[in-house]
Amino acid sequence: MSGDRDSRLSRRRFLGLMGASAALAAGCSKPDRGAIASNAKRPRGSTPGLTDSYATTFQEGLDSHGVLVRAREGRPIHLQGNDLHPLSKGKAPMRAIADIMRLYDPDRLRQPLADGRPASWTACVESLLSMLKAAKQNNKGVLLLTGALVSPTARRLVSDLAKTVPGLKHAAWEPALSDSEASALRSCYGSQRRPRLKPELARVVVALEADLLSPDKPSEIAGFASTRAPGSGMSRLYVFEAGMSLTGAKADHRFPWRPSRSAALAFGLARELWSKGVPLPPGFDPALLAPFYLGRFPSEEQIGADILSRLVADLKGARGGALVVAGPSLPAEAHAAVFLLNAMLGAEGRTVDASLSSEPETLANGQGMRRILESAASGAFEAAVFWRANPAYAFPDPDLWQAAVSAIPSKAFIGMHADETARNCGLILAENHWLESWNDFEPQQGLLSLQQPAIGRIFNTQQGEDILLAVLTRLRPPMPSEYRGYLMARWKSSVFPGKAAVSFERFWNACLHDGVFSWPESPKPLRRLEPKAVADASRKACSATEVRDRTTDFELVLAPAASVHDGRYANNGWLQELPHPMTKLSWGNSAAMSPADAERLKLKDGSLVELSINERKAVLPVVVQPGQAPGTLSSCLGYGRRSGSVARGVGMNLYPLLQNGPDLVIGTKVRPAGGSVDLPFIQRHHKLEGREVVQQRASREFLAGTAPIHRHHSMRLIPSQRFQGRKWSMAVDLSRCVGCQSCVLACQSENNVPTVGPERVLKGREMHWIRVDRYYEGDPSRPSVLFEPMFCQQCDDAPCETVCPVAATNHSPEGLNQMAYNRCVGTRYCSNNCPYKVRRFNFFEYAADAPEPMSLAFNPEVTVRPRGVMEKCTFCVQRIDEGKALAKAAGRALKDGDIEPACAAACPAGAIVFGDLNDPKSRVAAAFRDKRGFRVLEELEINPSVTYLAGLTNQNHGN
Amino acid sequence: MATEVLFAGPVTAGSLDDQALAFPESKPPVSWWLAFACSASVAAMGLACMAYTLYTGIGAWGNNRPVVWAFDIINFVFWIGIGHAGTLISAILLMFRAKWRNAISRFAEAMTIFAVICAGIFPLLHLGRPWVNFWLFPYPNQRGLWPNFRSPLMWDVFAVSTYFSVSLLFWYLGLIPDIASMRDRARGWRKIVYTVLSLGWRGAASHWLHYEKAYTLLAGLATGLVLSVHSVVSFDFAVSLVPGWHMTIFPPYFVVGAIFSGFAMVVLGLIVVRATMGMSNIVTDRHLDLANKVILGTSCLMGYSYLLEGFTAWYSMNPYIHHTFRNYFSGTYGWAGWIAVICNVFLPQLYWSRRARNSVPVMIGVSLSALVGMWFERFIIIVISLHQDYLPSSWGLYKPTLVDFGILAGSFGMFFSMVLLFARVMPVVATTELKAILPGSQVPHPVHPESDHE
Repeated sequence: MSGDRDSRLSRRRFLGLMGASAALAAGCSKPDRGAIASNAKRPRGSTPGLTDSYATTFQEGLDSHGVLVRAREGRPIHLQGNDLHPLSKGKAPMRAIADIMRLYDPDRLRQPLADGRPASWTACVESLLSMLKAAKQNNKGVLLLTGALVSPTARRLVSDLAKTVPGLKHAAWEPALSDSEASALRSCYGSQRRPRLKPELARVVVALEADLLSPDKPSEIAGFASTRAPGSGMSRLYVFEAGMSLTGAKADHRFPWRPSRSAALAFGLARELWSKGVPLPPGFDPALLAPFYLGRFPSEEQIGADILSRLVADLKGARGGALVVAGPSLPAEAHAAVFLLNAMLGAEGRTVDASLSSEPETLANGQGMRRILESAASGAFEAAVFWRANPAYAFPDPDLWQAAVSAIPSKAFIGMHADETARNCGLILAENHWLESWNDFEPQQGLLSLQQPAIGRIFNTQQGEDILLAVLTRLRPPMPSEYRGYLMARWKSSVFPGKAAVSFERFWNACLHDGVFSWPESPKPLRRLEPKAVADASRKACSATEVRDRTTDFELVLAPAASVHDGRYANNGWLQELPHPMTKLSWGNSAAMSPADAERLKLKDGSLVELSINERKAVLPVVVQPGQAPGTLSSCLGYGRRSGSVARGVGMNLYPLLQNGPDLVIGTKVRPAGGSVDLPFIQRHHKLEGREVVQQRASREFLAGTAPIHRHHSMRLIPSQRFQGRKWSMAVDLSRCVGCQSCVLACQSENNVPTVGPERVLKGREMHWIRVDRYYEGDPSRPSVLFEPMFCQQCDDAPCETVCPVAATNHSPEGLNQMAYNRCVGTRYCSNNCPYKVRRFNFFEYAADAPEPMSLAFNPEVTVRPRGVMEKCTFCVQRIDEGKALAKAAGRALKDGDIEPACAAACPAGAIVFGDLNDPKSRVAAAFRDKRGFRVLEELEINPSVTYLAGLTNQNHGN
Repeated sequence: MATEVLFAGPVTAGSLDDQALAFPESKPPVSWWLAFACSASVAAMGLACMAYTLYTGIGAWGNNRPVVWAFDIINFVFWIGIGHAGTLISAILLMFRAKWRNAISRFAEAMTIFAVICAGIFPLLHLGRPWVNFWLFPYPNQRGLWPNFRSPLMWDVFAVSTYFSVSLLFWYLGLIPDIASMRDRARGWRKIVYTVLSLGWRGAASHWLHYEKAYTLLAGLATGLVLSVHSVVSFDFAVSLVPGWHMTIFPPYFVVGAIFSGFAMVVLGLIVVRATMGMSNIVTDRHLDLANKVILGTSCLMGYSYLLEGFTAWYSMNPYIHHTFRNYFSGTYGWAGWIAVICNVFLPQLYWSRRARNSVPVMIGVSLSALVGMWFERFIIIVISLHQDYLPSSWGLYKPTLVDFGILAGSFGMFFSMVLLFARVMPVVATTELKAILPGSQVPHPVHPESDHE
């Protein structure tokens, strides 16, 4: 592989390197203090050459997900969902999969720093203590600003600390989480318990500006996908939204909709349902619905009157199986209206279930953070500790932040990166990655999920909890000296069932092994919906703000990016290179604008525009987005970071356009800023051009047989290859696929796929082995969207194989089109002859671009490709081999489902099925027999091994 | 045929030697030095660009996905095409006993050799890992690995290397009597060099007997190669399934295009030779006129090929090929299509007029336009076909880099440097062959009563 470059490598140097890497591997594989029980698959411990799995938990914002870490020789190399976790069900959220790269981020803080110089941990704790002492002497407060603190143990630690340090003010703040749902929950139910959405139980789903199918929530995608099988039980999805989201793309009926009208729409639907005989919940006065009349929308919003009445009839008919969701950018009154709708439709406790939700911590979102910073600016705090919070970047009002931070004399920072906030702090405490940390989470009542380290600490870092605990130990002994002990102590006292037959150690190890511990908990439904709060909301909805001039003023919807989220992942090249799921723009954000507005303002893809609201301005490029509601703009938060070698300067920071949180910004002025930029799109052509390379049918017509799938049958002169024994194949159900691109990241992590950077994406040299093609069909103002994951089709008569002059790409007896990288001379002819264009060429030595310790993330089973060779999807041949070897070692036959390529394992929708086509009972063989099956470019007679099941839509035509 | 005028003005065997061997025997004029300095520095710049490519990788070029082949293969096919006139003139015209070929054959053959050298650089340079290029050759090795004989690139390796070796042999064989003449007239160290190179040629009757046999045999071999090389090069495209490449018309279409551009290059070279080396009595207006007629004929065939390509695209009812053919003239790169049609089909139509065929400025213009047109013709085939193929999601645009242009210019620099060096050391006309067709040098053939077709 890299032999070509390493010709200078003498034998002595080689031995030296071998020794060094062995020492490095040994150093890394040393577990954290305390035993780590590995997953069921390998309880005997680590065997070199075999993958160990550890169950742990990924947390982001208010959510936590059970994940399995796949580790090789002590290095975590891949993440997937924990199938023992009752909510994750084996599916990890996309960003968890990608976050393994942050563990090996070369920009990580490697040691604690005091005033820019390396310091010892003892000295750091002393500094923290003296900060607390100074605060006490000056009779001032200490601010502890954190990200959402959802771990019950961590919360207890902070409250212990607050009890010991009287002036401590703890605030948890998540810049990209909107406060509107929480505040609506508070006012309407008197509790912030967020209901769990269960689309798997829904027959009719109405999403108002809500991205139900975003890759953050694999369980919701899985639930939705399970209702998309053809037949009478198929669900129907109505979406009203401004920008095109994944949910809108999968909608059976999607209406470009200004978010300012969503509350009125929801109340209008409630009124219409009521007038059709659906009773209001007890205590509600129908008069509150009087001002909302659905009939106004057909004339005002270009929506058919008939489709609205059919929607109402659908909802009415689906009582008990209906689900209405409002998105985070909508104001609280829209959420209240949706609560009312769900109550009327009997969704409460069924499709919208809060009975097991635990009460989350109140975040300092909305006005809260502003008040804290205002008091800081007025000198209320002597010291501040910023832990996993980056207000210097994400607080919308930089002036207030500056005033606050300069009024706090001593500041400490706990985090993984020397980010914008760390630059303001004298004491910088390098924190562990969560894969190096201990913790627990409570995703719902009666369920605890453990976080355990999967690797020893790579650098001289500490877990944030351990730092706080060290301070607490000094102030209030006796305390366990480590957070792990603190965690175990809490579990022993309040989780461990006292009368259990096993010892606590065995119980603890079993919980670590499974990653979760659950016990039956009686459901506690939310309180009854408060009529007065809903009535207040309806009054607010009546007087909803409208833009003054629709030609210059836009409604701006800002959401955390699907990839880099609120900006915390912005230094991860994988996530930066992962394109936006709809615009397919990588490396940066853009303002999505409707084709009509773009034409009116004479803008095209890449034209720069200036967005301004109340003197706050941002300039960013436009992307003309089919299906965007006229008068609205959509964009992403999380870009425009000022720190991080990858993140710095990518995209534009849009937090300053916000008031408090990511709520709808009404009245954004748009002015062409002149000039344009070339945008690094991963997909550059968006229309199908009449080609039947992806097929979609209306479910009713397909089932009636009037719209069969188009297939090619032509005469063959040469018989196709036949495979004895196994024949690996894949099937992709386009009805299930929601286009979330989790597969892209999983593949990148599993197969050591390099990132190339924006300049090279712009040149067309991206390296993803799997991509999700996205096509628009029909009227650009109301397009239908088709997704098609595309990867090597492993053709039986592969055109790439015949043209390779050195036979570097050839066929395995099990039907795989395989690549011998070290035989490849790089003629690139195979790429020309590949009609799917899934082959990727190493134009440069990309692996050499990755600074240490990024190479630790490499999967040792997959060759790191050198410059000048071609690469492509292998169906994860290393997993196939592993599966076969494990089955053989266990002395049993390989079963269907034993082998799962990374994309299939990651797909939250379960759209990708892999298996042996020669086994008639396999799932993939069943998929090949499906009437929805078609193969892409079948007319070329190259016999791809991948069958796609045509997407089905379930439009309401009225009956 | 007996009245065929092959020379302008009186030429004798002695004067012919004096004329043809004068340039290599004398000190080069300043103009030669100037020309050589220019072309050699352009060549050096090209070599620097190639070195840069070898150091950094193919990423130094504009190639991307889907356009993984671009200037590299365009230049390869272009130069292979330039090399075609040589063999055609030497071999096929020899077989047809077209006596007029003798005045221009040596120059055309030399150009063939140099063009194939220029072409040969690209398949090696365009490899992702050029240092393992020998894997393309079938050589026995311990690993038991052989190349893939099903790959058209493999066929290319054989076709081009065979073509090069046969052309080289043919050229060198033809040179031997001339080198002997040079040896006889040279002094000092030059005499030693020419002595070695002339392989002991003494002009004996047995030498001539063997020489003629070998020359005719090689001509026979080369005749097939004229058709095969570019046919095989066209298989790189025709055998693939890329829309716009997968066409049965490609082999003849490529051969015709190659002859077209090859003759254009020969005419350009001859104009320079005549003007600077005082050879207009040997390389006459008539020679250029005949070469221009070949250009006209092949240009018409090119036009026919374009039409037929369009017809095939339409008749196939294949939406992918429809799209590609439309792209040739109306897409992002549609301008390239029009350049090719105007340069290759429309401008050469001037040659229907005898005045145009004999006018040096027109010849220069048309020949240059044929070279430009044929380069763009390969641009159309390669870049336009590749940039939008089957799946619209994978469509993309191609933009060359400065390195691409540097290497293209460098290949011209290398070609002209080699031509200039050749003119310095060897006679640019085949003196011995010309002596054979001097007036009165041959006994007229008896006229056979049954064959009056001549």
